[in-house]
Amino acid sequence: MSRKVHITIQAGEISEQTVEIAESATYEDLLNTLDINQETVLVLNGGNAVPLDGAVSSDKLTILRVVTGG
Amino acid sequence: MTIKCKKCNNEAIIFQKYSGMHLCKKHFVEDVERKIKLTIRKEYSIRKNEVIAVALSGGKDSSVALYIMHKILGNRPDIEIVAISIDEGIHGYRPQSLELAKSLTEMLGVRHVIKSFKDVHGVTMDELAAMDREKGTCSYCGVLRKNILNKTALEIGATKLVTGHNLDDEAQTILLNHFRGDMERMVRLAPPAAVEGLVLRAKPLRNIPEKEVALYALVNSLPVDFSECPYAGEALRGEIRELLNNFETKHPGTKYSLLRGFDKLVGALAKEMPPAKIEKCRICGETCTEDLCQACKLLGRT
Repeated sequence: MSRKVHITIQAGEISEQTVEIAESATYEDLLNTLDINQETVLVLNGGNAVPLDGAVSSDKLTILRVVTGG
Repeated sequence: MTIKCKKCNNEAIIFQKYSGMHLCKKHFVEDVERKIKLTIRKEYSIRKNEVIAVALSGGKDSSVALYIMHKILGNRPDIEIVAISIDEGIHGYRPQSLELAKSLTEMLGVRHVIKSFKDVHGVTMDELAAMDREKGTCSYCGVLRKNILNKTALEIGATKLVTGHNLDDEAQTILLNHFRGDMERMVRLAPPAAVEGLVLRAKPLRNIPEKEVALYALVNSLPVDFSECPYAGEALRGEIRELLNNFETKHPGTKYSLLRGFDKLVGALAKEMPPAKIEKCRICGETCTEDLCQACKLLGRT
């Protein structure tokens, strides 16, 4: 079983996309699917940060890019 | 199912892979502040009657550095904290972050000195970027900014100059120096000895991973800017950042190991390589290691 999660990526500018992940996927799995290194972002669920080893519990998330050049 | 904090029963907001701990907001904030206090005590002992300058860009790192220095030392009547911001003249980038820097200093009630490349060096970063150059933009920006920061810190009688360098910055620089075989620079990364004319640098965030600095700014609702400088792009550093982040993900604790190893090594290294002779720039009088300082050299003053 898989499901869809709507992602907003904030990195100076904002982009949006929908990804399909496994039912039991963690935030870490989600970032791997998107090819985003987990050291460079915070994942927010309803504005609150979540531990990345937790299971994705919402179908709407924000990824905040916090590590950029310069 | 939410994950609980290792220290209490509240909901965790972070998993620190390197420590194996899940932490809630309160215990995460405590953890960051504990590490910073320890770093200050071990490496940058604060004496009585100090004036502490904090270099403030309005980005997450320097904003967190100022916020925490104020939180730790703000109630000491003998200590003054002063923020210094530099307007490099980067259209579409710096004005916004300067506004955020101002909001933060107003919120904290901290004195704020703002200097510009245009006023001090007669040229903006935008103008420099458009010129024929020998070096990359970041070289000019770094040298000219550090020059103004040191000058301004001296003017206000500062005894320390705090910067927001975090664990990632330090680990990257250590690896970069290794890759270049540049041991002179390696030695200069160490907590410096006092030199007349150069304000002591302090990096209280050097033990905090970059991501945690960002999370700390977020949970404390600090007005910070996460945008990127349009001129950013020290190519080799970017590659090293990526390499190190990939390594850290596979082998948690790598960044700390690099810093620990460096801290053990640098004392011995410094003995082998005595510090460069200190001189005064013959053009501007700034303290440096040659007869012309880096800033005057880059600006072609002869």
